[in-house]
Amino acid sequence: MSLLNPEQDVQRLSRGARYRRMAARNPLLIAGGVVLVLIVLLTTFAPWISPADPTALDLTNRLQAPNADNWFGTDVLGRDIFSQVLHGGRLSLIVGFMAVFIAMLIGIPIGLVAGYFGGRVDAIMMRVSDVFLAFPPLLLPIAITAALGAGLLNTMLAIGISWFPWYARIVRASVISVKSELYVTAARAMGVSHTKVMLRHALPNASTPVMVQGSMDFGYTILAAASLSFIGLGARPPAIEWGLMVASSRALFLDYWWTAAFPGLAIFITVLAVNLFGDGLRDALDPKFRGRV
Amino acid sequence: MLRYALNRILLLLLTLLGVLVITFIISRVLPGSPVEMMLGSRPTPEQIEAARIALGLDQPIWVQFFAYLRDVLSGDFGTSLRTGQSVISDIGARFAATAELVTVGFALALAIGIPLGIHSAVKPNAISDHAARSVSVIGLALPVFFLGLLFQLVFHGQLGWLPLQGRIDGDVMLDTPFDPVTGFFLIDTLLAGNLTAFGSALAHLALPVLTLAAATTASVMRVTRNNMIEVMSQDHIKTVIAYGLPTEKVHYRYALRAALVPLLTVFGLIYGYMLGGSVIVEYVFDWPGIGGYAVNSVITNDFPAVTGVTLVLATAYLTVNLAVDLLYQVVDPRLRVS
Amino acid sequence: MTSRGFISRALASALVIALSLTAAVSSVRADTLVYALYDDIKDWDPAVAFSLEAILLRNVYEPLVRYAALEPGDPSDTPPIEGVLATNWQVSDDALTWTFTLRDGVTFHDGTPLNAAAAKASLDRTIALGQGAAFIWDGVEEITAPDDTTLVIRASRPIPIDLIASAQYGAYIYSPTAAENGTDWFNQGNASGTGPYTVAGWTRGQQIVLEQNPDYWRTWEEGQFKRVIMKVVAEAATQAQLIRSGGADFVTLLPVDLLQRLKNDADITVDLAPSWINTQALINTKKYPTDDINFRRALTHAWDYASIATEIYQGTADVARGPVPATMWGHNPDLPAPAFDLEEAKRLVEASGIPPRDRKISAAYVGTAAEVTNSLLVFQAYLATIGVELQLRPGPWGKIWDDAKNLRTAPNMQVLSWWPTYPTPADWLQGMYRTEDPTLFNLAHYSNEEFDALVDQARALESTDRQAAIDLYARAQQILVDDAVAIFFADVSARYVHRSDIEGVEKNPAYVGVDFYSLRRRQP
Repeated sequence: MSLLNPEQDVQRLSRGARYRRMAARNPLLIAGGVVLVLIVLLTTFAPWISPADPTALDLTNRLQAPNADNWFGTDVLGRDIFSQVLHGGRLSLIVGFMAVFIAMLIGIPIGLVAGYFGGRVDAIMMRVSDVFLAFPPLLLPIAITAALGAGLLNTMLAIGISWFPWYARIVRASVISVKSELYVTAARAMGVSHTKVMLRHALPNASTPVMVQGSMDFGYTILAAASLSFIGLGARPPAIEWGLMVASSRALFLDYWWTAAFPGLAIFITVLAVNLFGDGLRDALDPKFRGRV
Repeated sequence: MLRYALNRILLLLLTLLGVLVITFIISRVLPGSPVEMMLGSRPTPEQIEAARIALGLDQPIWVQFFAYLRDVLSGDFGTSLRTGQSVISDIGARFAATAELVTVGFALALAIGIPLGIHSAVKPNAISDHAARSVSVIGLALPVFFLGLLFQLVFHGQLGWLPLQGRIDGDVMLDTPFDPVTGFFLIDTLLAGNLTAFGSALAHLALPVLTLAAATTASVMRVTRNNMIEVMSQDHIKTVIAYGLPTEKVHYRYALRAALVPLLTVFGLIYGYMLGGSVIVEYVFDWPGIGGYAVNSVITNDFPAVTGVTLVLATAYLTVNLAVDLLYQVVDPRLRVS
Repeated sequence: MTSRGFISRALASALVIALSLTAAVSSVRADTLVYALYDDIKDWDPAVAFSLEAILLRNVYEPLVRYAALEPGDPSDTPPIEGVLATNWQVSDDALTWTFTLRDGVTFHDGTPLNAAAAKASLDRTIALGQGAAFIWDGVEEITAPDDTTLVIRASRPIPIDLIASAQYGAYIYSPTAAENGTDWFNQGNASGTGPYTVAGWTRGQQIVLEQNPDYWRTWEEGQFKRVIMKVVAEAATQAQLIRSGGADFVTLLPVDLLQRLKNDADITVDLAPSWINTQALINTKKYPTDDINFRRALTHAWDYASIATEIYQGTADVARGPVPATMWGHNPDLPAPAFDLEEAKRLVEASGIPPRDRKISAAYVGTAAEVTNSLLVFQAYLATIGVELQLRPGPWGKIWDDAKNLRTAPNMQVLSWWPTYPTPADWLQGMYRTEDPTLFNLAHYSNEEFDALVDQARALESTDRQAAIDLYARAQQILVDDAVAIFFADVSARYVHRSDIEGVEKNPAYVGVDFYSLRRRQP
């Protein structure tokens, strides 16, 4: 077991060397990050690099197994699955990202206000957050999406709304720990407004844990969005999205495995990369985990 | 301690009220008039209007809410628009199925996840550690629905070893019936001495449980590992090792005990995660539980069922968390201060 | 670690035990039939049921008469009606009074005897409840039972009571004693009819068990099924797996893309037979831009009828000609075949004068129907080539219907599948296209006085002058085609998918499901 104290070592190094060291100590972070960047690039440039138009029907070429022309085979309407996987990534990534963003958008202000002002305001806000936490994961997004109607925009909102309490809590904890710091008291004594204190002193302190949580949640939101599409509450045809592709193939996948396998694998690899990256980020930034590979 | 418990119960009830409000709002916003769905193929305009009034949909929204509140408090969750049965009886009929699935899955996740997590923490960087951590990372990244489909494809489609869906063979249920004492088929069939039915129930349980437990095992493994690492790095453990006690013994006896207690706090979260995951698993495997009922109710805008199920699941989740919290208070005396 | 090893060993042995045990019971008992339903039974009351319940109820309850299986031939032949609980029936000269002679020696499952009084009580209750398909009895003034075996039904205007009494919904004769318990009693899974099978049990959401009725008025022979398990299996993939493994003898859902594979399997029989189900895309005649007749006609030419029937439906549907299925009496055989012609479509779009930026339409449909989804995707692709943008709106039936009824929220096109309550072209023509206010199923929001008059007249003549009725119906159908109120694209075939050792499957388009009484399992 390592008994190094990495903080002292790291302080003495140059910036480049510091990053290299971080990379060497956190191979998962790098691996995850690289794959993630690759996926983002592939899906962003999908219109240029995909071999076929993913919406092009070809009724004479339906349900073909993977072959030289169609690397991932074709689906029930003869569309090229490889092209669909490339194009579908965009929606999955965007929805996942936006869901986290929305959760942060709602949760951070609530946590800031609750932690900063304390007392009744805190109690009320936390009780309300608790109500949202009372739902088992996925149940609330399912219900909200059904209420708002299917569609990826509503999926983003639903997941974001269900997820905000985590960010509220993290920010609140961070703000509370900072509130008692001397420099905050000093700033208030000098007449700096509440808002400024919150934004300039409390908020930055919370940024690291929020980022770490966000990167870890990103994988979950992608999975949640895909699951919702699988049930039929997320993306709808003719949209191309990985979860929807698996759902559409459900009646046939036992005989035509490729219609479900490739989109499913795409989800898996993306979430894997995101999780590795998130884990790596936490390992790198969280003091308890430094020093362990 | 009693005061703390009462306090927490009060809080739970308050939270449940909040849950009720939210689910009521959601169910009333659900698009599509539920009346159409309820009346089947071709109702006349008169039948539609009559049903509207019977459901109370012509009242202002706050009147509907208080009527709903009153009904819920007296145990009436309304009638499902889809099945035509009372929501309570619908849920009751399906409760044991979900309970069995989640309990067995939970037990499996603990039985595999805890030892793996400990092993991983105690022998860091060994091949087994890396392997275990890889499995854990994979388990968390695999979409539950995809894993379920994969299992069906491999174990049923290709190998033909295990059944595709359902809880037990319909034939077996009829030819060799057993008393549903607990609702847990594994227990009931054994109690009845019915090995055929036990085998059938076990075979049907295998794939859904494996699918559900996969992600949870990964979670349990991570948390156990993290807790063990924390405890092992604490001074009192290092001291004992420095004094010469065998490292392994120290790890498995003292560190483990200390690490498992905080694990309790995460139990509630993990249980909730399983409840959420069970929704998808039940949908994929046609498991006759509450999760599948929830999904079908939501898809068909069955608002009494949606509110009823959400309420039941949220209550279960909150209760488990409360129980775990109280248990933790009992187990760890250091926290009995506040 | 020892504990881990122990656990894995224990699991392994448990699995082995389970596998060996399940191997022993994987074969279905020969005298049990397993029938896979796609949803659970909701309305058990025979007076109210109006949906897939008929699949179950037709084996537990019986009507007075039934419409015998479709024979190929001139669809204008006199309806082939057979007696079931009635042995004889005749109509008075003024066509207003029908007299039925009831069969002797029939009892309900609860032991009460079938007599005219019971039949009268049964029908009276159905009419009084006014739910489900009770509307088929509209026009009936009075039902009397002068003696034990004579039932008299008197109407205020000439209506085809023999056809109506053969309906698959709302025409069952059930035990009035049992019915006194009310609809709630039925909905707990109780039943009391005269049919060959009794309800032995219902596990909600999972299965219903039927058992042979030993007192059935027809004789039982060796080889008929003593027990029927109706399993609830919602997923098409699962049903396909069940039929292949022998876990089910009959399935009701069929992913059409598996059709060929299932046909190639010697243990499975896939039979396509005429049904009276058709699917059409109603075009909203009151919503811009589909309120323009040229634009509507253009849409009808942009649909690839042949390819969709062959590729998307894999031959399980025929290209429809007009609003009434080709196998239904009263279908107009002179209607032109619909033409897929993109050039013509383009020309008509231009002729409509609709500016390019307004060439956007929406189509709503039930999202779970794979064939409909795929057909619309093909349609969408072709429309794009002629500059029309199609927005798809899938959803659950409740929402779709609610939106479609109201012009404010209605889409430009609404896909609807339809089948008759009892065999008459009026079911389509009146049910879907007659002027309605408020709108119920006339989702094309079509209103044409000439059409309405033709249909009303034809209905009145149906039982007295059938040929005249047929001529009037023919003209009505022509009007609908000329006005391009819908894309009529699929006369859907009934699919009988069962294990090859099951014999005696009767294919009758008038009734959903199968009669279990006629089935036998061929012994090896």
